[in-house]
Amino acid sequence: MKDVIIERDIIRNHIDTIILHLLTEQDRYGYAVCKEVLERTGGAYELKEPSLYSAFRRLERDKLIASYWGDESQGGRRKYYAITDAGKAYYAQAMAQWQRVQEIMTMILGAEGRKQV
Amino acid sequence: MKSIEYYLKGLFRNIEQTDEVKEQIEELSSHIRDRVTDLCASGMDEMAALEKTIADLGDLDELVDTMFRRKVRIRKNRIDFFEMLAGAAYGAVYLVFMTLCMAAWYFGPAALYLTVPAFAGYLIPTIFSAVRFIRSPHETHLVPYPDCTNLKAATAGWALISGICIVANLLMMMTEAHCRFWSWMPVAGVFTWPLMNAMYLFFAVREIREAGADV
Repeated sequence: MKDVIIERDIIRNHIDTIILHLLTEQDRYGYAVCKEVLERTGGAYELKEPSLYSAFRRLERDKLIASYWGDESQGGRRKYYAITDAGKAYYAQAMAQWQRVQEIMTMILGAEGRKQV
Repeated sequence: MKSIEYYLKGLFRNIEQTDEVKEQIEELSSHIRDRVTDLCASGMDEMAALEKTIADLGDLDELVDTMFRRKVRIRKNRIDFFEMLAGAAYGAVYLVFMTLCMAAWYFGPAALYLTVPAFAGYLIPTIFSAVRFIRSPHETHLVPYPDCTNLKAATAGWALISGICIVANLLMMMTEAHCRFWSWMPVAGVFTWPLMNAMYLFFAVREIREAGADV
């Protein structure tokens, strides 16, 4: 249980990178982001709604993403998020950082740390 | 599907219904609706799907609190430890000077009987916080969004106590020829209080800035 929590925490530290990455591909709404994360990880990681929406609020406040309402005719409207230019710059930085961390960990841990997927 | 809206309205009941809040409710309700629709499509009945969705949403109170910056999740064990460490470092310096002063003015080496237990007052809580920190360095706690309220209160308290001590000291100096300027000791000692509050604020704000800490 404790291990799972630590693992979740580590991933959660990268939640900005995850969200920004998904938004560089296309504009998405909250549920679509959750679903995408679940599908890409084969259900191994579930982005919880409170984490997602507070990250949205924070990223929006920092002007890294912008939101607009969709024009769904039936059912409720959906709020879409798009990455801004500032967001793209931040994302490039975060991505470089992540690659660097991975590189360093691999250099230290070697083949053992590189689990075959 | 009306039940979704009632649920969300209940959740946000204690918050002023600004446009931001209304939009968040609308956003969450379409999120829930999408999820319920998906679950129903995979063969679940609507009531069960709604129950599962709401259960999986987890602690939405946290979202409400973090969204409106009322509360924030921080690594409190870590912050407490650094705060206590800073306090203990200050206490050590202060008590060395106090020992020298007390020894020279009044008690000789026996001054240590006073200052060593006083240092234990700094050290013991620091050890406790170190143990908590080492055991679970990443444990997070949901705490009120840090602001200056406590720091202001502590500073005011410190100023008041200092003022009283200094005035008392000056009065004594006027009536007694050999009275020393002892009041620097309580003034410096009680200063630990606003100092610790300032340290907490400093470390908490730094963590929030660095990690963009949220739920």
